[in-house]
Amino acid sequence: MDVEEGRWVSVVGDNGSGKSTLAKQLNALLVPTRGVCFVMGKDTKDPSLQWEIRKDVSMVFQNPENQIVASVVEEEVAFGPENLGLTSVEIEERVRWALKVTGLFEFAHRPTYALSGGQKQRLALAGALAMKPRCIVLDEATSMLDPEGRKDLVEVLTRLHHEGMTVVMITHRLEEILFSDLTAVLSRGKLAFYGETKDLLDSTTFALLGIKEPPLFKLWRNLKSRGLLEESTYPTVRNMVEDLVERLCL
Amino acid sequence: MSIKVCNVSYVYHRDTPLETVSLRDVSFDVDPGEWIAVVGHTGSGKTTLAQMLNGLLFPTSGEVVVDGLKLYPKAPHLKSLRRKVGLVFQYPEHQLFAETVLDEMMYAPKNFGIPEDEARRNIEKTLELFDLDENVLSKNPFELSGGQRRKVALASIMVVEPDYLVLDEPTAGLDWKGREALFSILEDFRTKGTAIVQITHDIEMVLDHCDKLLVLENGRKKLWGTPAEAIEELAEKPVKGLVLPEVLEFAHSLRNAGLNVPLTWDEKSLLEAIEREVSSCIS
Repeated sequence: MDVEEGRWVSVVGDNGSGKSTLAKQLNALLVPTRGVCFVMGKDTKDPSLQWEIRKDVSMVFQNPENQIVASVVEEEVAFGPENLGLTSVEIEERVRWALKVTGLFEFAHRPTYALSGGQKQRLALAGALAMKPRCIVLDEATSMLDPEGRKDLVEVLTRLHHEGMTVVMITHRLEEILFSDLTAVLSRGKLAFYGETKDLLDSTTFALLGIKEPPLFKLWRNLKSRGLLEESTYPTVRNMVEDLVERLCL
Repeated sequence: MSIKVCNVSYVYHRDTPLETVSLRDVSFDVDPGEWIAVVGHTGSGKTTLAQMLNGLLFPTSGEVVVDGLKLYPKAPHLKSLRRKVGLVFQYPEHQLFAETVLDEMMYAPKNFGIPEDEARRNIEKTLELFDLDENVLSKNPFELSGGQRRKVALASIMVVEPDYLVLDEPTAGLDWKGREALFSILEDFRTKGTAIVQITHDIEMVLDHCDKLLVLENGRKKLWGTPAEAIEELAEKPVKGLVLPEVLEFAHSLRNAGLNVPLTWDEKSLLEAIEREVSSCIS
């Protein structure tokens, strides 16, 4: 599969389908046993390029606790840039930027342990962003968050994506594919679908793979097939309600 | 035969600067064969409540009575109580400790003094319910897949046939196939009269299974009722940290926009209601 720079790709599939293995290929934490993986034109198997690849591609994992090393928020964010050997002015600038983007600026001097789960996950993201990567890979980064925390994280990602960042989001929550342009579906280690998210929603891929769709997707499909929703309506509560309300001139 | 929770409050680190009230004046009953879902945000007191049902924690005030016996520290009936009320922690597979699945599953029966041949029979029966092959018995739990490990952990609790099963977030980390398998096993136990108390933060998952929902907010009982009753209440008065399933949010928004649709998660009736509304409006 190819991912053009600047796109937002979701990767979904059951437990054990290979999602995390795929994610780890993208910053050369794992390299292919067979075949090749090029990231920004660089072969991940080439040890002399791996450092460059990891600067381009940052990862955020499922459990932020495993990723946070410092005891103060701003120190945590500065950890990566410090390793890049930047000037202190540049480091400070990046830390400020990353904390602002993730909405953690007011927490800069807080101890990391005092953050909530959602804030910790945004801190892990801030640390990844401070590396100024071209691509961010999130491996089930929303799975331990409550609905509020998930919303916050997605909002940050949406903003970054608008500014041109490539986002690869591994998730087992199918609702989350709606944020992305493209979706890849993995099944037993194979790519079962890769294409526009919209096309996936209209296809029978999930049914064929025995993956259970969110109930709202199913309702959306049935409403469309009965001509009760516009073809272009997206399966979100807001879109569906707006469409119906307009149709009924309420 | 029931669990009665009466006006229970619980305070952690009492009389210290760290004093935290976890539960305030919570009451409810669990009857045989009933499936109760306890839902609430992180920190709402769900797990504290679960641990009280089999005497790992005791109320600061109020009481928990299981089959007529009140629970208190060092009560002579605590051991038999723990056989009656099985408690499954979050990620139960992290608690597997024995070298083989057989040793793991034998542990509880031995502990409760069940004769070995009877225990063996129970193990075989339980394996069958969990759709596990007998050849897993000789395996080390760590050779098994994640889903199988979860099953073994649950099976080792179910093997002593508890009357009440308390599960803390039992579906965490399972994909939907694993979840469906777990729910169908729990339904089997329920049919045989086992009562189920399921702790969860996800309402959507339990709507089709539970008889009653207990909604906690900051340690207080916010709501107690059938899924349909709870949904009506929750739609009008949201509770901290709980979101309505999307389908229900959709139905609720339509209703607010003036459509006559039921607040239901049943796709078919919702679909029919919308169709009716649209056709009556257009004609």
